[in-house]
Amino acid sequence: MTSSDGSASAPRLTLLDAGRRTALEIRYAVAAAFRSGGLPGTSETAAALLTDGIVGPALARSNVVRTLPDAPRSQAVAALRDLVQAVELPAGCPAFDAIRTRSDDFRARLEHAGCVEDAPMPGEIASLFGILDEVVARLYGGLDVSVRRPAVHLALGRLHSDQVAGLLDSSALSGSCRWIDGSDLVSVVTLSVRDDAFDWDCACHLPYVLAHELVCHAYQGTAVADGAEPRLQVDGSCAWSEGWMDVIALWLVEGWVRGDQEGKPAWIVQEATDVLRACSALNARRIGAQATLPPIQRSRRIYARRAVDRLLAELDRFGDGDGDADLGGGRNRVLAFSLALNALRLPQSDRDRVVDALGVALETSFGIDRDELIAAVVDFSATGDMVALRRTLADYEG
Amino acid sequence: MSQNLKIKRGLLRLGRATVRELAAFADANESTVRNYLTERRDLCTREEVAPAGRGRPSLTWTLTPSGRAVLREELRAEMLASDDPAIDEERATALEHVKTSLRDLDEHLAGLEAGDVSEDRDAAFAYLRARTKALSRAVGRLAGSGPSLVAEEIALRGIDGRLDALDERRQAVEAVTEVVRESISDGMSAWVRRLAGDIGRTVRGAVGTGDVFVPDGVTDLGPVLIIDASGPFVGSDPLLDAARRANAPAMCLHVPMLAEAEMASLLTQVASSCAELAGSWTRLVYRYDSRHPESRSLLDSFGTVDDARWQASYPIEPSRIPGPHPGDVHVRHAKRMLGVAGRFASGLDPAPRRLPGQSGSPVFEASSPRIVALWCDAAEPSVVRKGSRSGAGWMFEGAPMTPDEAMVAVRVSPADLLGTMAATSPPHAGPTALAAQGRPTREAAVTASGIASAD
Repeated sequence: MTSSDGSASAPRLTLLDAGRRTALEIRYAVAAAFRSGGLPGTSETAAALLTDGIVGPALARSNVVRTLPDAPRSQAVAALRDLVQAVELPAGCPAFDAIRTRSDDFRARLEHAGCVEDAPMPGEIASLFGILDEVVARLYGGLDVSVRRPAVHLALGRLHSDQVAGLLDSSALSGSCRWIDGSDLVSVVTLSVRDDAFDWDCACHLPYVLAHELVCHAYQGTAVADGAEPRLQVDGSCAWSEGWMDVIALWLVEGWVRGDQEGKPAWIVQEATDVLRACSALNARRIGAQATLPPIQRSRRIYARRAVDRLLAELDRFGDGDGDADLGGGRNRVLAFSLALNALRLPQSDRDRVVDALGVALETSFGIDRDELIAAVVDFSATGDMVALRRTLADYEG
Repeated sequence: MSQNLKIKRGLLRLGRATVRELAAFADANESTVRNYLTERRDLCTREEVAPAGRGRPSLTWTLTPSGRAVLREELRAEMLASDDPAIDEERATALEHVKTSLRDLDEHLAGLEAGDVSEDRDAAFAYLRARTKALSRAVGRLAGSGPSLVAEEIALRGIDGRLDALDERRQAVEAVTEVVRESISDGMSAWVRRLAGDIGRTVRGAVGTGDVFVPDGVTDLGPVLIIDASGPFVGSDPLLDAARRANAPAMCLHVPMLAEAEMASLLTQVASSCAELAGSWTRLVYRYDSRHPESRSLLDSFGTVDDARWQASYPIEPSRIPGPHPGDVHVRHAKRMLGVAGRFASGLDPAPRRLPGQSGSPVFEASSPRIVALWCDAAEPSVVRKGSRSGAGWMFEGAPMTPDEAMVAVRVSPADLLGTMAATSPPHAGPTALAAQGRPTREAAVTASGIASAD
């Protein structure tokens, strides 16, 4: 799970118990192999067979294996593979052919499920995390401001089946990140999964949930210039991290899913539209009304997002420029500013003060003041000079 | 706006730009931009630069420090001198944004004034204050550039006044909360024990694991206010449902975790809710959920967990249970909640209200204590009953208790609770009642704070 080659020794990670891990492996395999359940052609018989003969029993089995001891659990997984193999599929029909292909994929994915005691999670999730970590590391590494790459680990956590409040009404996944810095910077991202609920939508949410933790939190405070200071953790009320940077996370995912980088899981390549739709919907849900999100925090997130949009509108006016336009010229420029600020070791209050002032500035400045504001943002991207940025923003602070 | 002016603005903004970028910004031909830059070698230098490590090197024009100073002066002079519609448009856009922000602020303030319990009032207050100040400056800048902004200035003054009023109210709540917090340390334990005794005598014991049953024959519970502090769970829903099934108006306030500042907010909100419903709330239920791993830590800290039962239900290794040191966060949490309960127990209306026609500082009104704080557990009645003496769900009886212990002592199943609600008259535990039991009431301190109180 270590996604970088940092020299830090691996931290103790949270793991699911073996039963739940196997259940997740089955559910992930169902999602990745059968996806949204659509089939070529219109065949009600095939659709019913897929639902009632394969997916339904697989999901039911995933619930059962959670409470089984090791040996019966492995047997249950093997029995599930046999059950799927035994389903009779007429030849010569595109829908049944598709089911056959997907069933083979499903069975292959389950080959080692429930058998590898130390396997922390479906390998493809770990692999996806590793790929995204490389993408994020490359982005931070490309900044004019020097950052020290942290060792980033992925742990798996569990959400109770009752945990459906707030954002969890839209996804069975949630992410968190903690730092255990010593002589090296070490970030541990925990992907928590709600029991019994991992499905195709959740699979589609994975890139965004992981990208958010990586780009917003795992690499936060990694600027070399601030090396002597400890990194300062933020909480969920941080408008910068959960509002502004969250937009950057979505951009990153959009650029990555649409891009041609290698190593992406096949289902992401083939179902890019679904993935982008799901990630975008979850991103939008983060600023929707939630029982667990105080209105003021929600408002600040919205305000931060609005500020990103305004800055993007200004920086988009320069076109794509001559750089690699992974995200587009304007997005690249906003990205450079955002990552440079995120990399600084600032307390949450300072981050929020900047995003608040920037919001006001982008809304109310005009003429030469606006030019100076944009110049300060662009300069900051290159220098990471917080003092200069704050000097420009001072007039817009409350 | 002339193309040259646009090119200069673009150059000032990026500081280091390619001809293509400036052409896009200025909506000009690249040759026009190139010619202009070549003419203005006093402003910038030309070099091959890779843009921020994200691409191949390209010919880039970089503003020199002296060039930047020159450019600023030129731009300032040109923009002041010209009646450029583009600048007017920028100013109009800024004005629109100011108006939108004013509407945002008004909406937020209305929420705070209504006492939205989910709001972190301190943070919200500080944020709105800062935003108002920033907006005032923006209005000042805009007004200085020409347009009349009288309406906006008046609106901002109004917002400022409302913030002042809220601040006054907040400070009063904090002052009273502090007094009550002190007063409960002695009186609360006895109050809770007495309450527990009342309920213990009348409980009928209809329970169901994880479910809520309304006891037979219960038709009128009276209004129920539920404060759900069960974190991410939604376990208060069964309580709400049960209350409603018993024809009891019910309202649930979800408070995942109470910080010090949040408590003051909660007090105000609860009082506000009471006022809105003509003071008709009869029961306040404070709920925690033992299914949450962290709450198990609390149970551990009191040595009352039935480990075998727990393990059977939730087969997880204790070492894998995340959360704080046993009892740490949750005992603090319990103490805070005691503050809430104490306020109601002491019979004070917890929020100051401005009486009709009254001007000046708001006052605290007295009201009868009709709200009872209980720590209720919907999930594990069998766990919480361990150690019960009467079988009614109490874990601690008889022995002197600290306030923390007292909170644990009133851990009951919702069925017990609702049954009790139906069967008992509202307990009375105002200052006089506590004083009659020889408990300090801090009435003098309350009065000294300028806050009227009555039993």
